[in-house]
Amino acid sequence: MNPSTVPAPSVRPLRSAGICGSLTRLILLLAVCLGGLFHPSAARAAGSDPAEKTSAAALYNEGNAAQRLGRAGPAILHYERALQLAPGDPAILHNLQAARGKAGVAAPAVPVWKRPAHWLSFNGTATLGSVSLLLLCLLFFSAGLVPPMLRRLVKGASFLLVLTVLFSAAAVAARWTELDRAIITATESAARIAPAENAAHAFDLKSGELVLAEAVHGTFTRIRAADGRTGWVVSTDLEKILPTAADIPKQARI
Amino acid sequence: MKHATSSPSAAGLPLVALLASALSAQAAVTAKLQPESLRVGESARLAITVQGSQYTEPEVPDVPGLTFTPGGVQSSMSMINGVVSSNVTRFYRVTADRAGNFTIPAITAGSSGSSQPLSLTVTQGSGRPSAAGSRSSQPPPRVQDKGQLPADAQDKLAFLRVVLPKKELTVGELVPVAIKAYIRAGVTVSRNGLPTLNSDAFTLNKLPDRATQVQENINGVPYIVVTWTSSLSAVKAGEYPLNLTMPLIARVRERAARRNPLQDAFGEDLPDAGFDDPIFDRFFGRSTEKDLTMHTDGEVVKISEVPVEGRPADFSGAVGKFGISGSVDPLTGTTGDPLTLKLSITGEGNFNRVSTEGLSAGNNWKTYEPAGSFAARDSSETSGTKTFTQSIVPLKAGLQDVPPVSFSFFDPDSKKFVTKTTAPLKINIRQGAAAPAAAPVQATAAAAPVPEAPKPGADGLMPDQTLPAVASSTLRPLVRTPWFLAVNAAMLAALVLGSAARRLRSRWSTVRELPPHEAAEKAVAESVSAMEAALQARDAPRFFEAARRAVQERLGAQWKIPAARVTLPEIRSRLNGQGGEVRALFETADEIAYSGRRFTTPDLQQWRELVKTQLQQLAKA
Repeated sequence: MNPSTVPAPSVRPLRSAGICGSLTRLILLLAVCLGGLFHPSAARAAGSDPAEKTSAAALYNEGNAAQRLGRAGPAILHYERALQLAPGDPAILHNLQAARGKAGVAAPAVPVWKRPAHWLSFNGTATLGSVSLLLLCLLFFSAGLVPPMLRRLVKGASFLLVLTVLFSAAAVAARWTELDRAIITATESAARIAPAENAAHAFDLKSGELVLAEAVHGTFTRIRAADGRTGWVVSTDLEKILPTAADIPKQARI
Repeated sequence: MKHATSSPSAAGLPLVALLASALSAQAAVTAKLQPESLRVGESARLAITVQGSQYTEPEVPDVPGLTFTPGGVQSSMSMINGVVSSNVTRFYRVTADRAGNFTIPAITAGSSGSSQPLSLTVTQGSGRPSAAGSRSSQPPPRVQDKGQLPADAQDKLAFLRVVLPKKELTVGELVPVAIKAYIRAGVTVSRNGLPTLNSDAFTLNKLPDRATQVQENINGVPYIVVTWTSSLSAVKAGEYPLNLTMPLIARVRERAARRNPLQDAFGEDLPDAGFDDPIFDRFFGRSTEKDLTMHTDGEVVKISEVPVEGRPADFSGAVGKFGISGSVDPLTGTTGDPLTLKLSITGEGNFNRVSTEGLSAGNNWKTYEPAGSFAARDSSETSGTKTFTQSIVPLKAGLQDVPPVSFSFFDPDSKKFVTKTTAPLKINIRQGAAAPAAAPVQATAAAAPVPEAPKPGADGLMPDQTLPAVASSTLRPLVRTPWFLAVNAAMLAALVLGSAARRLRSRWSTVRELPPHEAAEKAVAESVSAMEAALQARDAPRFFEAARRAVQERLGAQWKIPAARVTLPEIRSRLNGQGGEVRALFETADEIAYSGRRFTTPDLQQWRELVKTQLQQLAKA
């Protein structure tokens, strides 16, 4: 990289937390605690698997590095992943928009009714529901120990917790298809009509385009493009935004 | 120099030559080149015309640096005032490998004579860049043909050969290969497909769509040689024959079933007057097509396994001969500012297995996954340069070493693993603004400066962010994590079971409150005693209260409900209008409780008898 053409990026701290940001971090912290409490291998593996633990800042910086190298697909993928960990971060949103603009791919539209489901990250929403459920359990089983004067307060808190659990469940259900969202990371990818090398070409996909990975067959993945078209692409041409255990090894090393 | 002839398509040439021989004419050979100057990569058209009575194939001379590719033939015959003249023109496409002035010597055509020498000026072309990675735009690989032709090659009309640079390979090794189809000049055949490999011990990469075509002489017999170049990879260890086949369609002319009219007329001893010449079969015979398959001679290739012992940890399966070099751009940087580490691996071998993890992350460097791109030197893609570009971020200021990066491969010639490393590089790193401040921040909220909102840089991107001390987030969706689902399911189940248990416990406690028979009888007895005591004290309200309780206890025990639930409506509904005395007792008890009505002692005694009678009747029921 030539410093005369690309300015040395000044490093800035994570954005000052708003209410949502603070709540998100609190919930994510609780999620980590939960993970450590309930998943014995999580604590054991912490730090040993770089793909397992990351941060929004690391993903964001990786997106910047990829964008500066002209790799639109990986850049958009990293920004999308960073956004999953820090929803609404203005820097990530700005760079994601810039990367999409340069790659010539459109941003997915979110319906108005789904926007509340995006207040928190996917894992944040799930953790909020889980923590609320945990608190509800604690209140339920310790009701006998609560002094009579506090019973009304406990009832009100239980009602709020039930509402939170229902909201979290509804939000997760509304965003369920986002679990299969993937980004085309190859320079260009051709969708075929069948999962075979010699199958007829259906349409082309741009690097950085958002698709839904619907099924896997051998080395091919059936995708649904934003305009509804479906086709089979080579699985190495795309990466899921929220990778499962099988997908995650491609994570960058920190 | 390479020169070639086209497939023998001049079916009418012998006829022209024959007729021309019958009628004498002046023979001449002329050659014309157009244009006479061109650029490298362009081609000129050479037309060789043989005119006269005897047609003889012109001999295209060897000119180093020039390639003659046949481009067709044209023939004509004319008869003017009884004089027959024939013209046969052969066309060639002339291309040059390099710039320079070339002289094409005189072209001879047997006894017909020779042409004038021609000159061709070739200048350096403008060099249109070829598409990277495009096989068709790259030159074919040079495969040295050291092999032996079949001993009886000149007796064969067509045969197939595979030219490999060596006869011993290693599993995974990728070598250039040339597949040559030899077809004797003059034999009319057409391809019915590309050569195919018939062995599972090798894989043959895709053959190019276009094959080169040259003419070779084998023991004086001219052959058209069609050559495809590609790459061949060994798949499994052992000794395996390298078998390839190629389908052909041969056009065979059958002699016409005709009789010699002169022999019919003059008997068998009449000399042949030239009517047995095959030229007549070309016109009067019938041609048929036959499917043929050319085979290679199945030369055995020995394939060795890559040894397991001594295999370096970073061996990625690369087999061949490679070298590695590295560079960093720029040579100075700032902490937090990404630099680009470029690793170039050059050589010959299976570049699809050439990979490197690049520079490892450490205390001084944060690294990202390198991205590789391959630039092949030829169309077989067995040689070239694979370049890996890796973003590295210096974490510490000062003169920093970029540690050497190693790359290991297996050398099939020396049968050894080789590890090559890049030279260590020195980079001068300045302290960036992103570094943590040395002085502790002691500013109060009021005195703290308002941080300036970051602005996009010249590249349109917002600046990098500081990394947290601990990367604690995960991208793995919790809702698809078994432990998360199990924990939530357990909590939900606990809630549901807890609610159910609470309801059951409430019901059981209600059931436990039901008095057993003895307890009910005891309660009845106690109530009757209380009733007697109230009678003695002439306390009517207490009397009726005790009397009602005694009846409630008795009925509650019978109906298996708490005594308190035995009320007037319950009695009405359960006794279906009967039990008037019991109802009167309950109504009187309610009346006394609210109205203060007075009873005399005889009245109370009468009520006592009534209550006792009812209790006895209820006990019997």
